Amino acid sequence: MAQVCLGITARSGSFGAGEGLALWLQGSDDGGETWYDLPYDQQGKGGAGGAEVDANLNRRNVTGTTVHQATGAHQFAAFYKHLVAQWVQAAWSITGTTPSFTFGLALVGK
Amino acid sequence: MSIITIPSTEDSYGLVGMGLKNPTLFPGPTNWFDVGRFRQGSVTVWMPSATGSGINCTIWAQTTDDDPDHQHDDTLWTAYDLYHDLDMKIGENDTRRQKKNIVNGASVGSTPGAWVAVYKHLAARYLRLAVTYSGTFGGSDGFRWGARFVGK
Repeated sequence: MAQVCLGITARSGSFGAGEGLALWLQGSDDGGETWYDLPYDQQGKGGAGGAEVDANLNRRNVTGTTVHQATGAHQFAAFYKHLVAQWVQAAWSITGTTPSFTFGLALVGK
Repeated sequence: MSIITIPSTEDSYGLVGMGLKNPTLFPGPTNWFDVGRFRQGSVTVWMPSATGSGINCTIWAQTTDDDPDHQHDDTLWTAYDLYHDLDMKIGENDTRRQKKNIVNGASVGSTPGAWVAVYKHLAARYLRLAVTYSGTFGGSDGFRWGARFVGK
């Protein structure tokens, strides 16, 4: 099992509908030659304070939504209850007008 | 450093938090607890008494991707909200699923009481509890609460 933590600290550029950052985990069954997208079991966005939030379930993007384009710092965590891939990597796409995201990504596994 | 390793007892449990009264006395969050050796766990929160009116208390778990080798000052660790699989108030028959809050806005009228949240797959290395209070607290108003983690 594993948790993937995505911490976004800054963003610049301009973004239309459907543009921004999408990030997800991929697994490989052949030592890294071929990569397949991996779904998580649970995902949530931090910073909601005491507000009650439902976990997103069984999606791909660690950002939860199709793309993330909000300004400011944001923390996302995705939880993979059974991580059966031998090799994993993070993949992302960034779209927009002169888009830039500053982020850190970490995987904690057992 | 204030990381607390849960003692290695046969029952594998440890105290993860103790809140006292109100935002002034204990604004939270708790210390970080090392739960790295557990693959599943539960957090039980007990709230034996509350005083006041129009006040609420919410408690949830957080995890982090930091560690002592990466950053020694754990007060600077980045926190990420941790979602449980199930939770319920002890004594009731309604189970909530895939939520964030373990105690979701407890009121004076809902205490004394206790809540449990279950993490069927605990990928986290570290865990702590965050708390927020809402409403206006008088000088002697507040919630008394404590929490315990049980892991296997």
